[in-house]
Amino acid sequence: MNGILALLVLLAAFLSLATGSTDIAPLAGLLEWARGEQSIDAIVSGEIRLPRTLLALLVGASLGLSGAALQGLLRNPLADPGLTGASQGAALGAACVFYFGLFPALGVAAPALAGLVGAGLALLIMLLLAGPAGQAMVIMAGLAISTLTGALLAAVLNFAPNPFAMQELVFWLLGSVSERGLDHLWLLLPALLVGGGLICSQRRLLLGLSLGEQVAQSMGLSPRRGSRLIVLGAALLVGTSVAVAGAIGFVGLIVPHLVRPWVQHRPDRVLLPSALLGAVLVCLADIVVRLLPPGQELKLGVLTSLIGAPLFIWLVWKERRRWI
Amino acid sequence: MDLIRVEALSLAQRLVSVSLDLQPGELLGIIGPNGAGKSSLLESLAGIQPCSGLISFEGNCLSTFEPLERARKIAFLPQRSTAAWTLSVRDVIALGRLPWGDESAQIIDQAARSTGVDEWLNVPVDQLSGGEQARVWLARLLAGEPRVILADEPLASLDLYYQQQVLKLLRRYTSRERAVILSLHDLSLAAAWCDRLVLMEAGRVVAVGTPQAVLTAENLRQVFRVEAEIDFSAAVPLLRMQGREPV
Repeated sequence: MNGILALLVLLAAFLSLATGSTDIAPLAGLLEWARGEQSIDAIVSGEIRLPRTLLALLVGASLGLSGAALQGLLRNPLADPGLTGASQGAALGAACVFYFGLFPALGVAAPALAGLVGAGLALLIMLLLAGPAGQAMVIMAGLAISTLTGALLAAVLNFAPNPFAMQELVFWLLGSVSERGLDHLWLLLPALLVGGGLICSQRRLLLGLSLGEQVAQSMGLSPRRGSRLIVLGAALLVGTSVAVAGAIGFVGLIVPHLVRPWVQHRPDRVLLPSALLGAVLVCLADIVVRLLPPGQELKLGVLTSLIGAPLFIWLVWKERRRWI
Repeated sequence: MDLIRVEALSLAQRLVSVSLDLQPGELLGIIGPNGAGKSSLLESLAGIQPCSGLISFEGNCLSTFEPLERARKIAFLPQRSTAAWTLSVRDVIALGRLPWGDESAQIIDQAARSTGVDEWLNVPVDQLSGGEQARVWLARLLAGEPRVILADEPLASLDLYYQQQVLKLLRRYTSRERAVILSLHDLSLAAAWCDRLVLMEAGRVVAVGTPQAVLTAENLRQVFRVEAEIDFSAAVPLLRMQGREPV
C-alpha cells in the first residue's frame, strides 16, 4: 500500500515537473539546473516547477497527516483541520503578520510562526471548550472557534490599509503553491518532520483511543500527554502549510477516508498513507490548475474545496446512515 | 499472598476508606445499588481514577509500577464499550496487546478461540450483536494475559445465554493464579458464581465474605431497601422477594 502510494508520489511529481505553459525536458532540465547551468530548461524546471512541485507535495502530506491524526485523536471521522478551527487560526495568525508586521526579525518565517501559534491556540481553545465530552462536542466547539477566527480575520480585512493589500491577502487565503521559492520549503520540511514525528510517536495512543479514553488509560497509555503532543504536531503541520500556501481545504478531511478501507480502519495505520495520498492529491490538483485555460487563474484552494465539499456532503450522508 | 490488597481507598465523595483483598483463583463480585461506588472502585484499581489510599499488587505498592507494567498485570473492561472505527474483531483483540507492544497472532488467536469469536476474526465488530460483541471485548482483555481482570457490569444488557457464557469465561480465567473482580446487579448470579462478595453502599464497604455471609435478609434490607432473601438451599441460589414468587 505505502509502496504503491510512494510510486504515485513520484509519478505525480514527474507530471508536475513536466506540466506548464512552456514545453521543456523536465529531467534533463533538472540535471542542468543541478549542475548550475543557465539554460531555459534548467531555470524553468529547477527554479519554478521544482519548488512548486515540492511545495504541493509537502503541503498535501502535512494536510493529509494532520487530518488523519485529528480524526484519530477526536475519534470523529468528520474532524478536519478546517473544521476544528486550526486552519482559520493559522490564517488569522499569518494575516496578522502581513498587516501588523509582527516578528520582523524572522523574515519569511514570520507568517509560518504566527500561523503555527494561531493554529495551536485555536486547537487548544477548541479542546478546552469541547471539554471531556470530547468527540461529540468537538465539531460544535470547532465551529464556534472557526466562527470567531473568521470574524477576526474579517476584521483584519476590513481594516486593510489599502485595497491592494486586501486583494493580496484574499488571494493568499484562497490557497496556492505557485510563485513561492525554496525558502518556503525550508519552513515546511522541518515542520513536517517534527510534526509528523510527534504524531507518529503517539500511534499506539491513537489505536488505544479507538475504544475510548478510559480503555486507553487502563492500557497504560497517557491520553492527556499524548493528545497534547498530537495537537501540537497537527498545529505545526497545519500552521506552517496554511502560512505558506494559504487555505487548501478538505484535503485533511477526505484523504483519511479514502485510505481507511485499505488499512482495515486502524487509526494508527492510516497516518503514513494519508500523508502520501495527500501529497499526491494536492500535487495533481495543482497540475489541474495549471492545465486550465490561461487567464484568470483558478486558485488551488478553490479547486480542492470545489472537489472536497461534495465529498464532504457524501461523508455526512454516509455517517448519517450509520447513526439511524 | 494477596494478589491485590486495598487499604483505606478514598476518592472524592465516591469512595470512603474502602479496604478489601483479592486472592489468586478468586472470582470476586462487587454488588450494591446504583451509585454505591462499584464503578469508581474498579476504575481506581484500573488506574483511571486518581485516588488516595494504598493499593498493593502481590505486596508491591501499585503506584510504583510504570503505567505499562501495571496494564500488563491488571486489565479493565468498562461498562460500555464501543469502537470509534469499524475495526475488525482481530484488531479489537489486538488492542489487548498494546501494553506489551506486540501483536502476537498466536495469542490473539488463542484469545479468540477461548471466547468463541474465532470465526469472526475478520468481521467488523460493529456488525456483531450485543452478546457477540461482549465476548469480543472480553477477548481483548484475555489477549493481554493479565493476572487480574476488572469487569464493570459485564453482564448488563446481555440475555441469559450470554450471561452464562461470560460468567463461564471469567470463571475459567481465574485458574492458574489469576483472579477476576466484576460488578453485577443480579444477586442470584452473584451468589451462584462468585467465591466472595463485596457489598457496597454510598462509597463504603458494608460487608465482605462468602455469598451466604453477605447476602443476608438484614443486609439486603439495609442496602437495597427491599424485603428479600436468598434461598441457598435451592439447586442454584434464588432471590425471593417477600410476598412473591421467586424472581
